[in-house]
Amino acid sequence: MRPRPDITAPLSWQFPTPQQSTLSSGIEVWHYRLPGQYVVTARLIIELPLSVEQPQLEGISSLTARCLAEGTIDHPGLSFASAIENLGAQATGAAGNSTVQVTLEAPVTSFGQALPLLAEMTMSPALADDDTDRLKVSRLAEIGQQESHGPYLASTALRQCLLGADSRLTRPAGGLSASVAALSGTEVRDFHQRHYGPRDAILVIAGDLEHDQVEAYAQASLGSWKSATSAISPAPVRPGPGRRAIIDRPGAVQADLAFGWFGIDQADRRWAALQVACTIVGGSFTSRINHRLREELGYTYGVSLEAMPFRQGGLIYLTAATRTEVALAAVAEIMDLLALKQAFTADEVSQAINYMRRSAPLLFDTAESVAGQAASLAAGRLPIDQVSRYLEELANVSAAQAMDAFTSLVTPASASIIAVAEAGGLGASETTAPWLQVPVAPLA
Amino acid sequence: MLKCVKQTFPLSTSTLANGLRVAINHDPWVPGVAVNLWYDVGSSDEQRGRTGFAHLFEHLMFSGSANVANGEFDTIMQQVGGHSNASTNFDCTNYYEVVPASAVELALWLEADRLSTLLERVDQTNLDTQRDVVKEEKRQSHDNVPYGDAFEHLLALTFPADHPYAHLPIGSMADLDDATLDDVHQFFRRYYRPDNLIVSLAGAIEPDRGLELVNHYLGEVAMAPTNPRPTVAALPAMTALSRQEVVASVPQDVIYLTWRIPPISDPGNDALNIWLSVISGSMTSRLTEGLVRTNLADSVDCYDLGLNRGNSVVVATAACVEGVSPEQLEEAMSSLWEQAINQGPTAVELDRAKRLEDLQYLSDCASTRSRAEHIGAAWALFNDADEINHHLDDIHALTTDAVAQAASQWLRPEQRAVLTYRRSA
Repeated sequence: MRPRPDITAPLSWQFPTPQQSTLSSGIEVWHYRLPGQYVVTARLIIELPLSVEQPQLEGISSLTARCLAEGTIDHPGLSFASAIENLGAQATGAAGNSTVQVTLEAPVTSFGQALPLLAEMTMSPALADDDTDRLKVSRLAEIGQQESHGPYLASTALRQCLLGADSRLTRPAGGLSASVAALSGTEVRDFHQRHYGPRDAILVIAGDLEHDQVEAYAQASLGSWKSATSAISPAPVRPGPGRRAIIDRPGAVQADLAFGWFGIDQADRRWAALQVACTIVGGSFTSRINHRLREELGYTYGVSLEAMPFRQGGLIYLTAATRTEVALAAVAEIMDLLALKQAFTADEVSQAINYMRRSAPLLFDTAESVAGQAASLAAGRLPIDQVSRYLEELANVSAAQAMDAFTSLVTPASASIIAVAEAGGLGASETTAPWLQVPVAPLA
Repeated sequence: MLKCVKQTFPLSTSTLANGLRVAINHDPWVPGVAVNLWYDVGSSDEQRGRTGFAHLFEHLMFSGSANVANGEFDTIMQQVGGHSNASTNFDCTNYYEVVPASAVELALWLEADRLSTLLERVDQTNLDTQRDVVKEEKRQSHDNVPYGDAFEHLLALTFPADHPYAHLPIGSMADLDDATLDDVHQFFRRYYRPDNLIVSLAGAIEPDRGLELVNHYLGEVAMAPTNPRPTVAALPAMTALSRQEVVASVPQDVIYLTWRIPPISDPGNDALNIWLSVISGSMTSRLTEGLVRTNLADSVDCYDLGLNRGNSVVVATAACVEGVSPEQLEEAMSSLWEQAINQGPTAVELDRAKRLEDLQYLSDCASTRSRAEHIGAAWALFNDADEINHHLDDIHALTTDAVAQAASQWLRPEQRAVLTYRRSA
């Protein structure tokens, strides 16, 4: 066997910097020229937080976005889908927490003809009653599908307790059955008219195209969009009371475990240090919790730990599925490891930092992934060089900073815990599940 | 006339003295290299009573080898900033690493170490732990989710019980329990050999350098006596309509239909796949228009499982809108299906399906990871590593007649099997 080869440090890398311009309509264009990427991704990001939805109409933003591709004033019904598909392109709309995003994917050869169709579906969709009714029924079926999955039930229950009850984000973006069932085409059309506009919108385009071409296509497609929408900021989110509970799911053969904490956004000075800590504790294959639960005990197929930022604040989630009979033992193991009885070592920290810094260039090797990351910067209202700044910050995170960031946000006592399982099989008692007896402690 | 994209991926191929095949696609625009290993062994090679073994074995490939401790493979990958994983399918077991260009040599060394010396490290503890992990994977992906047993039923409906495709790669709990260390040794010796392996590199590596490195690390793995896979006889299309109904706690009534078709490497397979795209691949396809837009189905999807030993399988699935029975949906679907078979695709439909295949294929090939996998798969399945460079030409050469003829030979409604999920009260 040959000796193990040494590796040299990889070449330095920065997330691509886009060429920026502004259309007559005020829309900012971020163009990423990516040679060799023959499928172009365009994403139009429109400022439209879910908090604008009236409580009785929750789900309307998502339903409106989903209906955009169903037909336009100029291309009613299926003639719109035909026009897009005849170009070998695909377009969809989706509503997130703070923005609506309309996405187009097209080969470089037809992108110039496809972009006007993205503009058309965004500016003048038909939103016909037949289509809104059909997609409403589809959303209701989707709710039924989602609620039949244990991990979904666990993460939904967590979200409800981690955020203040007044927050729209405690409920799914697509809305719940009661409000969705009440939606109609009239309300969808009204919602579009009142809230879709170029104000604060950003158009991300990534692929093998020259900037002059991109600018001309974008100006011709979206340069004349006018709309009198007013600026809206997402409502601030506040921490909720937390909760610890077992949710009975009869017939389940696994327990879906979810731990959660109220977290931070990317502007917080602890963000990079928290990412390092999460990677060490449960956010990577070699993490402490995954190693213990999967590789030593064989309790689970895998564990994940993730910090999810909102514009302000965020959530921190840890999830794992285990067979029912070891679920409470798994909770005890997780609580033990969350306590960080052993401080992070310098090796753990350097490994986590190397992993995140060196893998970044490999994650962004397609137009779709670059556009996706750029859209997430745009949706978060983050600086255009945020990825490179973040990678720089990561390089300087110390073990002490990672420990401090983690313990200031995540402790066993402050964990909300939801177990979705066949409750009778768990064997929960004061001895086997002491955490159930203790309310969630607020962080100091 | 709209121009089509023509993207060419430069490709160098070579076969080493020990039988290992190497393919290299140099891409000057990316910072990393994808290393893909395609072993010609999958669940269709498993013996009776040992279902799930190929996949269990795949897990053991991460449990250490002579010079790599248990768990160290992933630690090394993390240290260099790479990502790696593996998957086991019916016909193959696939391992990959995507690493910065500076670490490609290390990835090849890791692969060479486990291909040469896995048995020096694997022990009963590794086997027992990974058996438990795999059983959790089965629970998570199949046993604890609605419709999680659908494919088990579909394969049993589509193939005789002793057929290599009659069971799923995840296997059964009982067979997983029965797996022994001796099975591990035999399986490794039988299938994990250089002449049963294709290594594909895609990314920031020159072909000469890539070949030199693969030869340096994997070229010295000892040859084994040739032991070709047995041929699996092709089965004809089904003739007696077989049915099964499952009553379960599922959120929607759903129908699944299957057809036996020729294997993915058959020259007629492209025509069948483009026909599936015509009927279900987009918003304007026939079943979407005739079932979804008419409020009978909530969703509809048709696809080829991409199998290659004797046969492949087409699956069509549709979920009932509330108030529509599975019988109504199946009747409507069969009627549209038959009409589409009888009429054949129109020129406009075929052209649209070809353009959407352009988009799908180019998107798939955009990342080095999936490109390396495509290249290895094409070499293994079609004996044609360069298929990546003429796949779209082959698709664009298909005529409406060829597509109609293939569909009418293999996909007639009476050739289907049907699985129905009905919600329990």
